[in-house]
Amino acid sequence: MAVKININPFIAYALKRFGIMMLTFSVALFLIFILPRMIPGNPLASTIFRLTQGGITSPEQLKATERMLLETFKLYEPLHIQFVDFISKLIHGDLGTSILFYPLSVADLIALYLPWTLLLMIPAVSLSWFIGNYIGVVAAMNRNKFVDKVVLTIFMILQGVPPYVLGMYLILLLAVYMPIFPTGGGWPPGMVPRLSVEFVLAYLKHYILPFLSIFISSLGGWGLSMRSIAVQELASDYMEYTIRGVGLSQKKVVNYLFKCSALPQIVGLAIVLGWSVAGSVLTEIVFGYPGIGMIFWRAINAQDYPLIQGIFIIIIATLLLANYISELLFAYIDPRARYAYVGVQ
Amino acid sequence: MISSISSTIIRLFRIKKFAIGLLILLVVLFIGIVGPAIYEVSPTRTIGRRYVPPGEKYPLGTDALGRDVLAQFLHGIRGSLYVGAIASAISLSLAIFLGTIAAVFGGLVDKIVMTLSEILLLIPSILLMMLLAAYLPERSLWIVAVVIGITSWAGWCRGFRSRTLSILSSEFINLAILSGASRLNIIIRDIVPIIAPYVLAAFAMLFSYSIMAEVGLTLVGVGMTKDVTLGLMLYVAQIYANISQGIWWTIVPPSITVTLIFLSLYMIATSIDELFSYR
Amino acid sequence: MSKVILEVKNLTKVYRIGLIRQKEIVAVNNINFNVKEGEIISLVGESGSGKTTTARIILRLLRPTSGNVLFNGKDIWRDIRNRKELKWYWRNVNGVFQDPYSSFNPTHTIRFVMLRKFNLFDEEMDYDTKISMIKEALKEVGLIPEEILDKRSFELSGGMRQRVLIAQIFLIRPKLVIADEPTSMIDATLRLSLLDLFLKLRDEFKTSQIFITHDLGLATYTSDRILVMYKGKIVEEGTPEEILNKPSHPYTKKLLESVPKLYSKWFT
Ligand SMILES: Nc1ncnc2c1ncn2[C@@H]1O[C@H](COP(=O)(O)OP(=O)(O)OP(=O)(O)O)[C@@H](O)[C@H]1O
Ligand SMILES: [Mg+2]
Repeated sequence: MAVKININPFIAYALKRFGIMMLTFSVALFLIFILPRMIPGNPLASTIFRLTQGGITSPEQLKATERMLLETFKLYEPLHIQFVDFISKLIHGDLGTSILFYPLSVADLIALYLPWTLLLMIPAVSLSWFIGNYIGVVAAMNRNKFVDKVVLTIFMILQGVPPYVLGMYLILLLAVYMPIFPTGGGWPPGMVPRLSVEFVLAYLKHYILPFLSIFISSLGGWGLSMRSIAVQELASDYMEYTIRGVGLSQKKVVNYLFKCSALPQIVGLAIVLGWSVAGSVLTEIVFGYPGIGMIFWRAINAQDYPLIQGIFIIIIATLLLANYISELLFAYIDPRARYAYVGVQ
Repeated sequence: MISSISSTIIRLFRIKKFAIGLLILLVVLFIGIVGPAIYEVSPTRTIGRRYVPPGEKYPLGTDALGRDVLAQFLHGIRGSLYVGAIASAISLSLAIFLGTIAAVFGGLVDKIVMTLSEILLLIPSILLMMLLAAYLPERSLWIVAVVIGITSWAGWCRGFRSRTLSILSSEFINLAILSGASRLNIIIRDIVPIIAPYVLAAFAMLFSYSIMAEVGLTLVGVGMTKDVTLGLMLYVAQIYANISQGIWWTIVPPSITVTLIFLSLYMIATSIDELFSYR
Repeated sequence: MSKVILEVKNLTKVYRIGLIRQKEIVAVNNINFNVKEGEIISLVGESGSGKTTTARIILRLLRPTSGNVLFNGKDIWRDIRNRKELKWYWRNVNGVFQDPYSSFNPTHTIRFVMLRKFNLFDEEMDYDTKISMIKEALKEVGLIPEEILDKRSFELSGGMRQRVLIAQIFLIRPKLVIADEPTSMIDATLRLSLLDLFLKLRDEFKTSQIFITHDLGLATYTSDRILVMYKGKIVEEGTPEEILNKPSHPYTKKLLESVPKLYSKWFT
């Protein structure tokens, strides 16, 4: 007979989910490590060979790059030693040195570009969360009426338009045919980012289109899921009672419904914010916006493996962390979730 | 049997959403299948000046390399449909197989499949695809489709597992056994008819998802390098900065088509779901 | 003295759940009873007492952990193996379940459901004979065959579905029916008319019945003998009069307190 230890279910749940997160992270790390080394023809080795053979002109730089690459990947060592090295460097926060932006380190590059991505994604996603959900509630209140049908149709179409496609159209429309905004970039060429009115204004001008494309294209998803949550909520007895019995005004009901139904959506917001680094890659490419997605693209096209690897690790780590936080948040709000996971056995 | 199938089809068509979705899909399929055979211009050869706007000579103009955009468009649709079909077939088979054995065997098998799918759900499949594709030097349609297929089964696998579990725990399976029905008969007459609409809906969703994923991958530069797809058209337009030059004819046709394919399949999938969710 | 057709000997079922820290649930704990020809016995007990588990084992849908079930002297797990013997067994022992909603595959018509039962028949019959037998059975339970044959279960009410299930019993006329709470999900006003169908089954075909319920009142209405089940064990056994007048086990006394006066006054 096992000794029964009474652990706080919330802590048990938190520990269990932490285990899953770490397991996932290990799998991801393992994949990141093993894939370039396992794929037939060993693309990593051939790229390193190609890079050390040509492309780089000055002999000092060639030597340095070669040394750095051998140092980073240690391809001459047996696989398990390479793996131990890979992990121990990671623990020390050493992600290697970029080939493309030599001699900048991968960690520095990420620290340099990540803020721009966050500056774009966090406001855009949060605002579309708020407005999309609000419209979703209003649609649910007017279920099967004209407003609802129009909203449903628009949201459905928006769901089918990825942000980067929307971005292309926005550029065509508002930057090429009606040259109101610049066609891309983060700020005018030649300008250096600093905290001056002149720079902020120029930056905002470049900011609006990518912001809009992310904002508009994520409205649909939020709106549709909120609508179905709110419809269920409306059908519940206590809502019936609150609306009929207490006789609230339409506006108050919308606000109340919004508060009731927003809980599961908050978790969604946390997940999407975690996703945002990954999700912004394509939008940044289309707009030439100088965030993490942009350098990721350049890294891929230049086959800058240390940089590719580093960005992957960062993206997956933020994602898992955001997901973990949102799970805890959800369990904190809704105790059923944690009991469901821990099991009432 | 036959009458019940036809009455189901009639009911399906009564749903306007389904009819519109199917119509759009059929048109796109038709263009993708028949188009390249009728319009016999090579999509990969330079045939004229670059950036000729749409006109009599080139119905959709030419691209940055002086290639015929209409030919690219027609072949691109075909290529994207191929990717969608192959990728969704792979992920659907994986989802059905793993989901069903997890439900039927339970225990350790179930634990393993569930943990695996949880991990796969936590790592966004688009990242996994990028990771896989980034290290593959030469990427044909097949490779891209396989990469998409093996990374996107997790969510649907869980769906199939819970469906199968709920069917297996239904009393009607027991009653079928008590009617002397054989195992095979139960699978064919009880389980397949309930799962089939779900499979259809899953296929539609995975199909559109795969087409979108190919576009995304290729646009990032880790997708197609050999065969023409809608993604490759957008990629070429992107690297030659066609958008900021206002060269709309290389961008609008492929991007609208991708959206249309997604929407039509989404409409089909949701109406199948609505029709077959027996109360 | 009529002959015993079913014997349940030392029947035990233990469920094991969990993978690493296994937990055992003893759902049925060493129970013994038998059923005579034409007899209706009731298995009464609260939720989770192991009634359904017992029913499933007797219907040969679930393997017991230990113990035996003998039908006409044959051990149903040892002596019944191939399809032919299985069909023979289910032709003779069949069941009706609690949930009329999950008892039907939503993609099947009533016609298909009824026709399927002919799997259990040895004799060859043509389609028209089968259909006329089906119609006969549906009429016996008070349904109008023409109206429902081509409907699917979700077009029928709960009571109608349960009648269709009972019609299947009328069709195959087994020696023993196991009815697992057949009325618990049915509107109270329809209950008695369904119970009458089970009595009719006994009167017309001498069908023995194991009637499972958590309602002692219902049990006294239909049965010759009542077995009270509590936490996997049979704690009391007797005729309805015996149980009502001098219950011995404290659990039975508790059950009795909850029986509506309507039933009990017939026996005092
Ligand atoms: N498949 C199973 N796996 C694990 N435990 C089970 C399973 N089926 C039943 N049990 C457990 O066995 C015990 C007896 O269940 P059973 O369904 O036989 O009770 P019951 O008397 O029919 O109850 P009810 O009146 O609710 O139908 C319960 O504790 C139940 O949780
Ligand atoms: Mg039961």
